[in-house]
Amino acid sequence: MSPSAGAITIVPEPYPEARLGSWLLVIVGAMIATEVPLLFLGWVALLAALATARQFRRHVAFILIVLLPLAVVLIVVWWGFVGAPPGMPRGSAPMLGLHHALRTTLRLGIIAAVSQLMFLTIQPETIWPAARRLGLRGQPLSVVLASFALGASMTRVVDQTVATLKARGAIRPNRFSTRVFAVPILLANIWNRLLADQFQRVELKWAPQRTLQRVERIQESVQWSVCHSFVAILIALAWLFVCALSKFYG
Amino acid sequence: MDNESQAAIAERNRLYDLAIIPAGVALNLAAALTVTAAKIPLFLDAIGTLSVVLLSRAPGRDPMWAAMFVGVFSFVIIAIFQNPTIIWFSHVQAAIAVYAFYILRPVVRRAEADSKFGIGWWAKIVAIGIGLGLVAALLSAPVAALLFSGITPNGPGAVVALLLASGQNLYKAVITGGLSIEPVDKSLQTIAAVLLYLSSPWKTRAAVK
Repeated sequence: MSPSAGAITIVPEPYPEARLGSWLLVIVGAMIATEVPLLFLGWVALLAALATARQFRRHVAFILIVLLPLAVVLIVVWWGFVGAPPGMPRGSAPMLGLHHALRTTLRLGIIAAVSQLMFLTIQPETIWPAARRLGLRGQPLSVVLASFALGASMTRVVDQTVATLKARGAIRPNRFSTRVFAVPILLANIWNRLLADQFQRVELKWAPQRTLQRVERIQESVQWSVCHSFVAILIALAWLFVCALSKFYG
Repeated sequence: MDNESQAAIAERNRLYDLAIIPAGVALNLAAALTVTAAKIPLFLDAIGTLSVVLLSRAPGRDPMWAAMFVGVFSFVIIAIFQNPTIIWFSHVQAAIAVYAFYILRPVVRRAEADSKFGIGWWAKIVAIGIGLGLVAALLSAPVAALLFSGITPNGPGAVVALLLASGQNLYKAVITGGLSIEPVDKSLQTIAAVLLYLSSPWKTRAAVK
């Protein structure tokens, strides 16, 4: 779909405002909730939603790289070393310390899962209109789009620079010192090449093709789904309500 | 004719100023990726933010807003594709942009105008970096304590764990842990950003014009 085509496309996605609103409501709920089983149920529900949206693998990567190591350290610290939750004397309540560690882990799991569900499920072709709908226009919108576009060239520049340094023997995987000393060379190379790429883009594309002026004139060409928006907000409100109930009457 | 060419130069400069913003975002991401790949226990997540503050020639406070955008947006991208919990530290990036605009940029610009880059000047840059570290440590502490119970995925998690184990309370441990790593990390980043600025092609272009 060309964003400048002018034709309205109906997409099965909630309105960007509903997406942001429900994201916030779920996070507020997770921060209010204190019961570990409730947080666990919320996380499992989000995992199911992520699996349905085919974003489960990314969350598994997050669990393995970030959440699991964090959970282990939290449990060791609050259950093992401190033996109590914050605000209580050391060693006075190990089980409450464990409870605190699990609650923190599950909160982080929910925050991560809902963020991935809300943002990774945006279709690439709706990023542009969604950003416009949320008030990004003109220069900021151009910069956002250019930043996404630069991602590919950044990965290429990093790979090429690392490969060059390895080929010259400047980085040896087993030596910490060579890795540390390679970082400044790497960053200088990356920065200069990224700037050169960007300046070339300005001279060859932005200036002659009047890119910024064209971005300004582009009309919104997407119609979001009211039904999806309603469901997203309703589920988030229900979660918030249950969390508030468990906090005050649990 | 002369006016027309001046207008064209002004427009081109404006485009260059905009063009360095995505490069700053990419540098922040590249530095974070490099540190993770090289398994170095530092953040190095604000070099792009600092570089944009130094490099931008936009008028008024625009360089500060540009750098703020760079910092926050690079955290948004990391949050979307890698670690969603990092988004809660975006305010630290915004503060880094403000601090760098009001404190680092004038020092670098003055030295550049006078062409004086002696040891005393570099000591001043390190001191500014340490100050930046203090600001970052104090601003990130409430999030680290409230959301992460002190143990953040990267950075001073191990130090905080040791302090908690030794009986310190959560907030004290988080602040002390932050203060043990952030000043080193941020002064290294400040030095790196200044070096990148002094060697950047933008300066070459400015000299040619």
